[in-house]
Amino acid sequence: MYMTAGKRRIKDIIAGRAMLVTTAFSTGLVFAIAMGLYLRARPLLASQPLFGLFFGETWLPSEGQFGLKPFIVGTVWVTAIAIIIALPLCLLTAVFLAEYAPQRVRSIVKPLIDLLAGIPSVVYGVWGILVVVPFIADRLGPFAVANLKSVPYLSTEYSAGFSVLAGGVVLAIMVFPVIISVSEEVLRAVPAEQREAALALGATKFETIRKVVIRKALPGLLAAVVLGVSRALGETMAVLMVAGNVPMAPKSVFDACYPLPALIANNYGEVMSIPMYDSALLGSALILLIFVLFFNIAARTVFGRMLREHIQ
Amino acid sequence: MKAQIEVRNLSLAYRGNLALKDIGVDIPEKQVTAIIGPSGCGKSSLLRCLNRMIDLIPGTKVRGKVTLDGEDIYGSRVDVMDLRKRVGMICQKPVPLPMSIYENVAFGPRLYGVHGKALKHAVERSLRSAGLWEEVKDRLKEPAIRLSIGQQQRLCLARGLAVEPEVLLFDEPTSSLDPVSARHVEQQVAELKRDYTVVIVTHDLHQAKRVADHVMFLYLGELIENGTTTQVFESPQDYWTRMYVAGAGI
Amino acid sequence: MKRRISEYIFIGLTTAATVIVAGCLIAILAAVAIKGLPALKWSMITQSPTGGYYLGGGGGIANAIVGSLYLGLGATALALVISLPTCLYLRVYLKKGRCASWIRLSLDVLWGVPSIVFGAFGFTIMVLLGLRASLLAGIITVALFELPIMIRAMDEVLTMVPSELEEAAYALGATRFETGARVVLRQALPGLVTGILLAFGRGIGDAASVLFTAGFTDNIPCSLLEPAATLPLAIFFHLGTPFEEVHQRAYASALILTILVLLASTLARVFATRFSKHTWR
Repeated sequence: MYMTAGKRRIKDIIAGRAMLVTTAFSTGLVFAIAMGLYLRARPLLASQPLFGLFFGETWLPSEGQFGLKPFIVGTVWVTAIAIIIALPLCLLTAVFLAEYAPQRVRSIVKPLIDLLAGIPSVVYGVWGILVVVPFIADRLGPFAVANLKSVPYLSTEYSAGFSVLAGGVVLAIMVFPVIISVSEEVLRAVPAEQREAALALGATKFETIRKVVIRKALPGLLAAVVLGVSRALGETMAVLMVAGNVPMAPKSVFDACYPLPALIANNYGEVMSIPMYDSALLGSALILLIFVLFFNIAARTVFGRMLREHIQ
Repeated sequence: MKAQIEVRNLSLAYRGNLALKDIGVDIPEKQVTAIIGPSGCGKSSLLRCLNRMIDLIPGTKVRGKVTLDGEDIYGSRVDVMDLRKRVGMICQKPVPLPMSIYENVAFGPRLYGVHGKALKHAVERSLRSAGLWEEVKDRLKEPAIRLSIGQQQRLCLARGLAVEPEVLLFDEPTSSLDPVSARHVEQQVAELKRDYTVVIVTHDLHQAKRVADHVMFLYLGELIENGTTTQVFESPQDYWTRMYVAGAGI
Repeated sequence: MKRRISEYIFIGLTTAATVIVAGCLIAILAAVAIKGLPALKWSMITQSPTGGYYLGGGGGIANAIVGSLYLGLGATALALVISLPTCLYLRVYLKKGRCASWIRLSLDVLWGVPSIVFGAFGFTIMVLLGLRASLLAGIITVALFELPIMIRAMDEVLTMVPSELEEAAYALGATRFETGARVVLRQALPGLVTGILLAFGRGIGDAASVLFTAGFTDNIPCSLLEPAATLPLAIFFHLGTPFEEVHQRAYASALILTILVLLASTLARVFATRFSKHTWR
């Protein structure tokens, strides 16, 4: 029995090493990305204070002014609108799928939602241009001009349709699958005994869901929303196609805006000609990455842990 | 009678708790040895120490010595893969591999470089000794999961036999089977002792009586009694053994 | 009575929300089909752009279709080469230890990285390697983008492989590698194919990662070092022109892309449910 299987053992060890290498590669990739972007952004970070970068109002690359505030504000607006639209719809849908829907309905609706996740973002953009933008330009915009003069964030003089609202609507639909699938999973993870305990006391299903299920599932639902936010932050093409891309901080949902990802995507072609431009764009990518990482890690560690302690 | 496996001062710790305490026993060659005892007494753990499947459970620590034909299987130069080839194991629930009936049995020999005609012969021989050949010889290409659960268990036996082991370990091989297939597998086990040393863990005392030549009674991780089947069942020496074989719940 | 009414209202609300969500999918598919179908001509699929194409002249988007397929296949193959061993290592070698959960966290975080960031990083790599915008650079970038998607799908499938199967192989004296490659992978095969197809669908649909790395050309690429057109970018550029005829082609291209992606995800679903004749439980 002494080492007769030498060849097989060596093969096992070599394969293990090779797999370790790919695992290290995959695991390290996210760090490599952050590091790579940081190194490329460093010239700009060295020449300008971070504060000026974040809160500078003017974006004039040819004059060396790289204020990212309009873009950061634009990103926040679009993401906020998207979450405001998506949140109630997604939670209600998740509750329906987890609590009310008969098995047959579930088995039809869930694949549909998965399909939604698979549609390319350019196609969302095309849909936005075909449907959402004209609707805002022809219906909602004029309505707001006529009736919402004094309402903050909703008043407008004129809207071409390419706006924060259009970006938000398209983005909302794009984050549906993320929020719904995670929330549904969380709701279904609430133990049946706890529901039954409430139902046995004579609570209606609605009361049970509101007072027991939702409460138990809250950290997980928060995690779902945070994941949705981080998804929305980084989405590029669809938003780029419908948000209008004017480098000014929007004042109303009918104003055009210019989110960070769109900035990167739109300008990369011309980076070589202007000094520091390339640094500024990779710096924007780094900022975006940091936001997204922050939300993602928060969702997966903090809320994830709260969730585990809560339910099990 | 020659002892093929000798267990000396074997202790097993699982996350700091002793699961087996200072076990010492000889397992005779070409005989059936049954390990009996109430559930949780360490029967399966002891069995898994004999082919080092216990290594796969994280947090376990083995002390003491187990020798197979005089060689310490926990020695530093031992090839565990080769050990497991020599000491085969059949588990509680039948676990057909995700492939055809033929490929299931051929899996082991293929690992050791057997192919062509020799492989075919090995498969047929193993299926015959597991008493399954007549039932499956015309459907060797079918997925193994299409077999009935009793047939699956005999397939797992055939798969274990195909690597030509010297010792066979059975971990409650009939507990998930219906009575008829259980009887079938049991008969097969009894016949195997002509060629193999067999160790069987069982919670079924009647089964132990029917198939075993020797019986070990384990209780709370300790070896309480050990002897021929007649000794242990007819004139048990220890109080706990007496209670257990009399059918009192301990 | 009041409690019963609020129950009904709640059921009504949740049902309505589900209908709206499902309706969005149908609305998107319907809009793309209604606008795309009339513009879809055979020449769109079979020809590359000819002179004056972007002014409304003749030709089609064969360059982008073929480019996207090359890019998708290449990137998926490359991603597979990295993700399969990674998942196998996690499942068979590391199991459920602390180390594995840290690695999984890192991979989950990678999954959340936006494609535009992959694009920017891919561009950095490309410059570092001295490459130009080319099929190769695009393949590398999209492969990185697909990597976490594929790993997550595969890891999920591999964790569902019952450990008894592994033990059965170990009990026959198989090494970890033999157990992983011949038993665990085999058991998980249908699910692995699903993961591959999902990643492929996401890969060919993504525009932001290829924007700076794959380039764009009217020709079908003949080597890895030539730039390659892709469907998402073709759609984007078509819409950038001021001509209505060209916009029509964007809609048709969007339809083609949607069909390709839906085909991949439907196939993925079929694989997940069928082709599992050896799989138990």
